[in-house]
Amino acid sequence: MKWMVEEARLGPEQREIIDELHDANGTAVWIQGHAGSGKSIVLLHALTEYVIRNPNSKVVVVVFTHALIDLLSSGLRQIPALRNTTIPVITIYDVNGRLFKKETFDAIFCDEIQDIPTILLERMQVGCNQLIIAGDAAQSIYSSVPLFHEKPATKEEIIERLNPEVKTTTTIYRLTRTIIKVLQNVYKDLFADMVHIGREDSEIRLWKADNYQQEIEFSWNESKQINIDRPSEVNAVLFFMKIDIINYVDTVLALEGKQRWSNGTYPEYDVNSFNFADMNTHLNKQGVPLMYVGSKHGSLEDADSQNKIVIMTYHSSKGLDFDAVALPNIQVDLSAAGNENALILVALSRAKRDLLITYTNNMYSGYGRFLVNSKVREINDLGTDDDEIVI
Amino acid sequence: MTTRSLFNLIDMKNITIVLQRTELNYLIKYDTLRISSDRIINLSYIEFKQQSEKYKISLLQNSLPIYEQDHEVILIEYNPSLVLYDNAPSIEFKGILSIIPLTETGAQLLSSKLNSDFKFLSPLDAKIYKAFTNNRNHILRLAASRKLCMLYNVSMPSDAFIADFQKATLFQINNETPKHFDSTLAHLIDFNTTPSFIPEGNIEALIKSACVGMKKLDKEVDQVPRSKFYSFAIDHKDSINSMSLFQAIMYIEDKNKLFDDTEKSFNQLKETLSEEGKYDNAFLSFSYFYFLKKSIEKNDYDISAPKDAILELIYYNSEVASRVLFMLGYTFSIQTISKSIQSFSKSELLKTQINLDLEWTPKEIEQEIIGIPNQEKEEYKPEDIVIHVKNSSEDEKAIEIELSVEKETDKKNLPDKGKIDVLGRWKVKPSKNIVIAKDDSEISAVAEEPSIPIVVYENNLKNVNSDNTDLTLFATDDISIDINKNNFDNEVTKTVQEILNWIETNISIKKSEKTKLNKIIEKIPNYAILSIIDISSKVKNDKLEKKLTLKILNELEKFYLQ
Repeated sequence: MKWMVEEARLGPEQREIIDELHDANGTAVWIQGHAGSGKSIVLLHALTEYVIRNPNSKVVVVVFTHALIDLLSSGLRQIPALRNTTIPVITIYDVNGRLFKKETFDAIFCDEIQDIPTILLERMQVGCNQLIIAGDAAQSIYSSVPLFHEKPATKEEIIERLNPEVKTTTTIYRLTRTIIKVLQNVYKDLFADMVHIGREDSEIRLWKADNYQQEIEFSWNESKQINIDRPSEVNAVLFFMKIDIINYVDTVLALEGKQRWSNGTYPEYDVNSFNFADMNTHLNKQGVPLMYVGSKHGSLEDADSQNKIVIMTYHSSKGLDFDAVALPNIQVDLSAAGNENALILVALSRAKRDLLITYTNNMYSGYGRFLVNSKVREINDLGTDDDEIVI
Repeated sequence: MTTRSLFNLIDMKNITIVLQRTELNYLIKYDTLRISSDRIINLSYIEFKQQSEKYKISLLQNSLPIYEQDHEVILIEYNPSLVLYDNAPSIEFKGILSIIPLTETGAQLLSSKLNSDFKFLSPLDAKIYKAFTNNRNHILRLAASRKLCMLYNVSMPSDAFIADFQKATLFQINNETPKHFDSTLAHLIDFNTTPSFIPEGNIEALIKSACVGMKKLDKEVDQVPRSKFYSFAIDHKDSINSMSLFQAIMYIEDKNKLFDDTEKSFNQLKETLSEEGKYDNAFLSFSYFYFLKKSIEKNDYDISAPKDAILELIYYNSEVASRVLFMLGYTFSIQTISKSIQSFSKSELLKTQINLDLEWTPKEIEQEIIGIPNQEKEEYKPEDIVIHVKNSSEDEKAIEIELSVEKETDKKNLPDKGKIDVLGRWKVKPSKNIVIAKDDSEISAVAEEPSIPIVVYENNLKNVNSDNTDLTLFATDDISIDINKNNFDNEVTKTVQEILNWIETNISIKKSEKTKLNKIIEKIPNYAILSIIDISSKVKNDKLEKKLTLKILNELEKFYLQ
């Protein structure tokens, strides 16, 4: 997946940040910016500058999920200056373990800093000579960081602990015009990049069902047809919770006349139902082109090469994008999520070409805030038989 | 540095200077800065605001450098008595009277980056700034169009078309949606999504053109799946996607003529897109535009990625090609495709020089009948066989070879007609590697890239005795062997093992030649060997037979072993 942008193509803000980084001299630097502002790209270019200036340094890149390890590793491979260099990309859990054992680094480059607990922040600061972090505290999506059982550091805590130089990227590059306008309903300070006429925009479609079965049947048929008609694309279906994924998989299997996966009924499933590796095996055997990706299970590359539709949680999808995304079940209450705006922003900003949002009965109010007055197409019947189509 | 002021001290009106923000940073840090003279507008800011719109745009165009974001460039009002000269105009920090941002957005961004104690004036008039950016954009986009057309050696389209397209792009630039009465070019640019009811491939570009037609007719795009054109395209999707875009469009033109209702709807689409003749070949142009745009975007803005499609269009319709390339360049603008264009510039700066090869000829779909032998000859001579070796095609699909020999043609086993040309000859890709059987028990001569079934080859032989007097015995994209049918009878072919045995038995050659022959046998496809033997066996004269065989083998060796 080619997503890295070469230095000559960076925006002026991005270039400015990279140029100023060599003056850091040990002071922590915090690259802030919204989804799609290119923070990860700036982080990797900053790392490149650092490695060139400090050729024998011991550096590491820290990310939150395994999917992001793949993504950032592929980004590093696309930087010509780093071709003969091996830069480890590891999760927050790995780096925590290594720092706990008193390992030190010359520099740590950490992405998605808003999802990291303060204890790890402090360890990283102590464990290296130069800390460069990227992320936006307003976009923290965890109320408690998994395995740490602590809440993520707030913006104030990050500033207090690290006293960083803050660099802000304000321009959104990755997101389409339509998606930016949706996000601007809640995040007023988003600025779009220069106008590119003819640049492909995305379509947001909205469909309301009377019941869950009807909703999933529609959503699944759409995803399936896209998978057939547009096999080179990577498509995803995203959910808030894993129990919703299990429910979806069972419903799809039933629609396809295949053997059910789970034991139990929604929302009560047994432990085995959460074995996503086995779920993927089951889906494969049943010939249903779905693959769960997350928590070390499944892989985006495999899903792409095998033309399977990816199923993920909103959390796991952070930092990734797909050609077409389906968001079923948006009637689900997200208030337990902590920062629900940040989570909905993540869900809404993963699609490049097509975003299909479906719900049963009533949309959750959080989504309503984003979708109000937006260029969203409510899918109705395609006209009556009286409508003349002359073409 | 001279301290003489650059400006007449009697005329002490303030002046306006354009600075990049990075230059302002250095001016603040180092207190003085050299600037280029084109950055100086010899008017106070108040005087500047009083000028005509056209003149203001011209002043801005001449003074503002290239930039991407509003906060990158500012205007400053400056005390002219403090302009010095140091090989170029030089300014000091204390000469700055105020800062003028370009826009409100720029002002907000600047306020977060600059000293909060600085005096900021209101930004430039929004209408003027918009007109300036539209003008600047037009210049940059036109530059891209020119470069792209030059690279592909086509002329630019007419000024009228350029003006129409420029006007069409303003809708998107100004964030407006064209109405049905606006130009189809505006709808072409405006329609920049790919709805999920559109499959991938050539068909995507064609259906998108239909979507533009729908918008022009003031219908919703999601009505397209109800249209006859859509149904037709979906029904023929596999065929449409299996050929080049140009061929696909010609295919649609031809197929639509078969049925009145589809022809009517297709004509309606074409008329709608062309605005009743204003834009010739609009359907072709629009389809190509969408196809090439996607291809270039998907390939990291490499303008050579869809080269074959572009060259095919140039070959068949250079006027449409000119319009399409212009539209592409204008849409992308120079900053998006400059890197790709530069890679073909033969600049001394580049370590690698890449040439954009513009040679293109249509692929031959039917094999030509070449070299008609003299029908009066009674005795066969090797010269009667003409072997032509052409460039290999990558497009042919592999076909399984049947190793058993059959006496009669089994029509059920005849391959798909799509793979046979009009003379019933099989179109194959020659195989390159053959494992030769070591003993009689196993015929393991297997082409890695399988070739023609024996049954089809036999059929070709039978055609020798048909009414066609001169035939290509068999043909591939690389080789055709043409014969005069009168010189051959209808003998059944031998198995591969028999062929090998025959060669070893009947061709008395020196040991060194035998090694060479073995190498040739390993490389040459077995259907070629079969043909050689058949041809040879039909020649009654032994000496001639050997000569012929070797001649053919040599010809094939040149091709396969070069």
